[in-house]
Formats: sequence, structure tokens, C-alpha cells
Amino acid sequence: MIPAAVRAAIADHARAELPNEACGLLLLDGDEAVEYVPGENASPSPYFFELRLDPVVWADIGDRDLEQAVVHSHVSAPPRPSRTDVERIGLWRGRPYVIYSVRLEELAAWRVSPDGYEPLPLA
Amino acid sequence: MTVVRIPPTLRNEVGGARQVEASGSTVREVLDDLVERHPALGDQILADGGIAPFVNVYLGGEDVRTMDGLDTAVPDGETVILLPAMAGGSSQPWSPAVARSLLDLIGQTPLVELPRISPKESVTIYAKLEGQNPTGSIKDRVAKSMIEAAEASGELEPGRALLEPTSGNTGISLALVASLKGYPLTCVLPENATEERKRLLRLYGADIVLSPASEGSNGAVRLALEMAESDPRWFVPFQYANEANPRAHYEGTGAEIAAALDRVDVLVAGLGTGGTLMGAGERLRETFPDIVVAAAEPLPGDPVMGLRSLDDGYVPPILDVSRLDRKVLVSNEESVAAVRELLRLEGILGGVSAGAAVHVARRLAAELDEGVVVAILADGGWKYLSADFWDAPEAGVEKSMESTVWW
Repeated sequence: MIPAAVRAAIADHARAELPNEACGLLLLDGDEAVEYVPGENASPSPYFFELRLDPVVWADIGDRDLEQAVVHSHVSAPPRPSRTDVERIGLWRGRPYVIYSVRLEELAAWRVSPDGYEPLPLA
Repeated sequence: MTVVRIPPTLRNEVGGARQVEASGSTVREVLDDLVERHPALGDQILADGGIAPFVNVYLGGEDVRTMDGLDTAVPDGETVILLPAMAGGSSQPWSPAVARSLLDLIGQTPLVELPRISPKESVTIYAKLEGQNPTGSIKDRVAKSMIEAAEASGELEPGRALLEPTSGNTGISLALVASLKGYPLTCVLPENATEERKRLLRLYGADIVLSPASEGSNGAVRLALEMAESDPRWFVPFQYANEANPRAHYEGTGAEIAAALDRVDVLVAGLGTGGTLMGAGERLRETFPDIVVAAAEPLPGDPVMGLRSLDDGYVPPILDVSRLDRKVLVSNEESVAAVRELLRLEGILGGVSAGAAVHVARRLAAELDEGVVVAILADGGWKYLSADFWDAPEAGVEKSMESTVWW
């Protein structure tokens, strides 16, 4: 479950970053999203993101007992993993991966592997 | 000692620890020591002599890639932080059915069983249909591998031109890859190569230089090497000596067969450059140590299009004959008979060298009590339609038994 306030934080950040994609981390306690941590898009583009967070902050988040989801926005495309998302999934394979489509105002969660993706009942 | 903070995505590899210790005075030494202590981290953090693509390494809160990379000094007491490198974006829709480029459709060819070709039920013969590559031959793999290896090493840059001696298929494959990547290509081929081949090369954008028919493939090699020596503008991939050729088959052809089959007793491929036999043979030997790697070699003085007799006097540098377990000589007539049978019995329109491979596969299958034989069919028959053998009378069975087995 992603509570309305957390969802609004993701949507606000995605709109604020227009015309580029936004990215960040969603922290989950079990099935419940508890916090959205906005990140910086280190390769600002309407078609690309590269997540940057202060490494100490991110490492500290990793030491909390929370699951993390990588979040990014698609400016106009549907909130489905793109080829680029699949190819760049890297260490995040099999972990929660959330996409927000600004144009469609839709949020969707996935598990992505280098071979494809499957929906995650989260959003 | 340096403390290394491990992200949750890598903790399984270090027994669940949030941080571990490693020693070293540079990032390289620390990461090497880390991998030594936790081998499962291996290529997830170090790959190809550098930091792996999907991990970021931070020192003092800074990405070491923006400092001196792996040579960045690690002061005593400083903490190294590993984090996932996350990137993506909406630029390209993802679908397994849509490729970005024809280059992405090279390889991953199908294996099909040949029940009507197999001499006994207890032996299964599979054909790997390399004719299903984008230009219709196995050489697409080799061309892509050689050009990308030369780009990676810096040997091939925009502004240079490619030159290759080739009896046809390699030229067509190089022409496709070169044109998609923007390099001009000149092919040197014997003047008796089929008209379809010359026309196809020109259509794909290659320039053609003809060598004397009487000198065969060796004449094309000689002429191309002479041309390259007199003009440094040429880059000659030279498939006969290019390690990227067998590597394409080690990483592609052979790995695909190993992934698809639980058992392989015999691998048969035509002897051309030796790339398929060396690369795929080596890869399959790793999975099936007792495999027999068998070459289908044309009879001396009886050339089979696309294949090469070692008796012609030229042994390709990439070919290590000691890595071949068997070498079976096959005549042109036997190859042609087999290619026609392949079409009649199994519906596969193969090239002549595919016929040679099928002939040898069937012969070696007959020697087995049971098992699995894989024959690599290097191309389809489409490029040989002007040859007259399709209509010639069927070769006699006794003739097909004349092939010479060398060892």
C-alpha cells in the first residue's frame, strides 16, 4: 500500500522536475510505504534518469530495517519499465521498482530482471 | 583496515553483514581484498579490470569515478561506501518482440531435430540453423564480434575503411554490420564466386575486388594482405587470424547449444576458418568433457564452397588442429547429395557446407549406439540457387560411403 500522502509526495516531485524525469527512493515497512526520499537526477533528461543521493544518507537508509524501492517518473510514457529500465536494472533486479507517469498520473510497481518484468501489487 | 559499507542488494554475498573490513592503500587494493574475502561479490563490483557498471563506490562521500578511479588513495580510517548505480528512463519501450537494431537479432538461432536424417532412433541429430541470422549465415556473429572488438580496442575508428578477403558470407555480414555502424567496406573474393554473392555484396554497400579464380580463397587472402600493406587506411578484420572470430562462437554459438541441450556427444561443423570448431567446441567441451569435436573438411582438390582443405597449404592461425577430435573428409558430391536430402526429408534449404556437416553428422551418428549429435548448418541455400546441382541426378549411396576418415 502506498498511502495518499506518500503518493502525493512522489507526484509533486515528478511535476517539479518537469520537463525531466524525477527519481528517488520509496521506503517500505512490509507492504506499507512509509516515506519517499526525493533524489537528484544526475543526468537530467525527459527520457533518462540517474539516481543520486548523498551516499552517507543512502547507506544509513540501508541500515534501517526497511525495504527500498527505486522510484522514477516517465514524463509521458505509461508507468511500465522501458527497455532502458530493464537493461539498467543491475543490482536492483528482483527488487521493488516504482514508476510514476506524469501525463497519465498513474503509479505502478514492478519487479524487474534483465529478462523482463512482472507487476508488484503495491501501488 | 578500511570499513566497507555494504548495501542491502549485496548483503547476501557477505553473509548478511551491513559492513565488512578490507585492507589496502588504494580503492583497487581494498576492493581486491574485499573480493578475496567475499568471492561472491566478484564481478558485481569489479568487471573488465574496472568498477562494475551497476555499482558506485564512494570515498569520503565522493564517487571514486570522479576522482582517480581504482587508483584513488584510501586514507587510513576512511570508510568506503558501495551503493547500487541506478539509472533508466522512458526513452525506449521495452518488448521482447521488438529489437532496437538488426545487430541485436544476430545469434540465438534455433536448434531443430533431424529425425529423418538420423540413421538410428537411439541417436538424435540436431541442426543449428545459422541461416536464420539477419543476412542468412553464421558469419553475422563473426562480423559483429570482430568489428565490435576492434572498436573496443581503438583499432577501428570513424574514418577508417574495412577490407576483407572472403568467399562471400563473411563479406555480406561485414557489409551489414559496417553499413549500420557507418564504415565503408571492400571485399576481395575469387572471381568465380556466385553472381548472387557479388550482387548481394554490392547491394549491402560493399566495394568488390576480384582475385584469380585459379588461386581460390588463398588468392583472395594474398591480394587483400598486399593491399593492406600498401595503404594504412585499411583495417583488415581478417577472420582467419582474429580471436574475436572463435570468441563469437565460444560466447554465442557454443553457449547457446550448451544452454539448450542436456547432452551433446558429437559436434560437427564445417572447416572454414576454424572459428566455429574452435570457439563452439571449446565452450561445449567445458559442459560436456567427453564431447567429440568433428570437422567436416573437403577432399583435397575437390573444393566445397565455403569450406577449406588444410592440404591447400594454409592453416588459419586461429585453428589449433590438436583441438579437433575427428576430421572427416567429404566430397563435393556427398555434400550436395546431403543438402538435397536435407531439403527433401526435413524441409531445410541449407547451403552446400551445411550438406557437408549433415553428411558427417549422419556418418558419426551411425558409429554411436546412442547419443546426441549437433550439426551446425552455417547458412541457407538461398544464395546458391543459380548452382546447377539442385537438378542433377541423385548421387549413389555407394558414392556417399567413400568419404575418408582421417582420425
